[in-house]
Amino acid sequence: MRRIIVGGIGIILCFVCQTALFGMLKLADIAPNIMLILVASVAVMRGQKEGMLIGFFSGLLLDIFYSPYLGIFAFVFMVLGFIDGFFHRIYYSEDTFLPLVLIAANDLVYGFLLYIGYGLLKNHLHMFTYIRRIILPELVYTVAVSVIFYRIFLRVNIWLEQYEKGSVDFV
Amino acid sequence: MKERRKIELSPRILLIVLTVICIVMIVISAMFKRAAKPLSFITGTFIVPMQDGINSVGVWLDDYFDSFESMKELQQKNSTLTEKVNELTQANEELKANQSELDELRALLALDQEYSQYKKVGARVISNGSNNWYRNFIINKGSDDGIQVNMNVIAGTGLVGIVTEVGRNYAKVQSIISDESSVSAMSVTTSDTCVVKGNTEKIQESGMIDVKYISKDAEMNSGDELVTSHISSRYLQGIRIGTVSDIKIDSTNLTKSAQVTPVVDFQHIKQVLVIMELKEVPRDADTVD
Repeated sequence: MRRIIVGGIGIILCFVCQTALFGMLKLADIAPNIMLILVASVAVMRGQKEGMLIGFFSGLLLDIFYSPYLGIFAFVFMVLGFIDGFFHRIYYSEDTFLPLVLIAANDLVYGFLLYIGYGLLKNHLHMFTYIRRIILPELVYTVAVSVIFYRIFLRVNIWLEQYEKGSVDFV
Repeated sequence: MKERRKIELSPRILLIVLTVICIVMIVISAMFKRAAKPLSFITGTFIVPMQDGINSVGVWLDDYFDSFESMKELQQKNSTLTEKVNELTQANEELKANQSELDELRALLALDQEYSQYKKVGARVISNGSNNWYRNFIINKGSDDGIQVNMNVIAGTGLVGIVTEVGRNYAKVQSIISDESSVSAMSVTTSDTCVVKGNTEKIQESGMIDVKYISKDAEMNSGDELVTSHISSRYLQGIRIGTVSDIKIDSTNLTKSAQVTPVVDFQHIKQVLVIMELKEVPRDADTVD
């Protein structure tokens, strides 16, 4: 139960961070992708199911606010959570390298998916411009920020695990 | 009972279930545009105040650090003067636009409208979209402040976009540089009409967006000012858009196309003004935007 509440608060805080806070801290007109950091961190720390659920609901929040159709971002984030969850098996909590690599890979995949949605379907075929102006800067900024954010999520996770010690929680 | 629980917990089953939910939601929201309305009401009440709060802290910090560099008084004076300059530039632009048409219009309609008399409401941009791809944004005024869909949004002296969705305390603005946007425009000096079409790719490469459907016989020149046109169905007449350049004839040999550099700096919009007036046209009017 506590995990659900913390998850919900985490999603909302990350959403506000991404849309409002980092909207003001843009570097070169680029904001980092905090929601993606959250989804990848949770998936790798807690496994597929939680990664998918967190991904689904954070994507849904983005959909409600910004997308013409509900469910698109929810689907993308959920699938990312599912794939990241595979790496839960080889993850241990002192390992900071794996989550960062995953976040970088996720952001790359996310960037290309969005290029299809916002670029290719709108007849903008200069993919290199998008890679140079959006995808790569976003990747660098996101990974840099994720060093901080991942630590916070890790702390929260350790705190939750200590609290749950001995009890069984499926969500 | 035990076995059912096992099936429920398998990640693959969860993936399938959530995928089906996603597809259903996409289909429903594509078929019924209003289906997501109640949901956005909930987010409007919970999340917009947070965004607004963070934003006002940011603005406060900005101001605080600004005051180190210059005296507060100077700053205030400067902002009022900038406002005045913007206002005057806008008025001047409108006068210029009016001048060339004045005789003609007077003779025909005795039209007597003053465009700078529109009532405006200031609003703050509280969110720049969820990602770096999407160029629309959210402002902190909504239906409580009298904002309605299709109201024009300006910043400084130029057109920013149009309100596409209104919540209680927020409104979504579609900027003129986004791919979905098209604005019926005209040249101030020659009154040739055209359509300004958003282009997210070009704005990043060169800071310009497209101008299309200029008549082949038009006398529009590079360097002309474009303003919103009299035949637009959603945009009030005479709002500045930008400077036209690079006019060339299309391969169809029927129309010309060009580029326009918007007067608004879309990377650094913080404050906007919403014009509290809607253009009135017949409901079935057939126009380009």
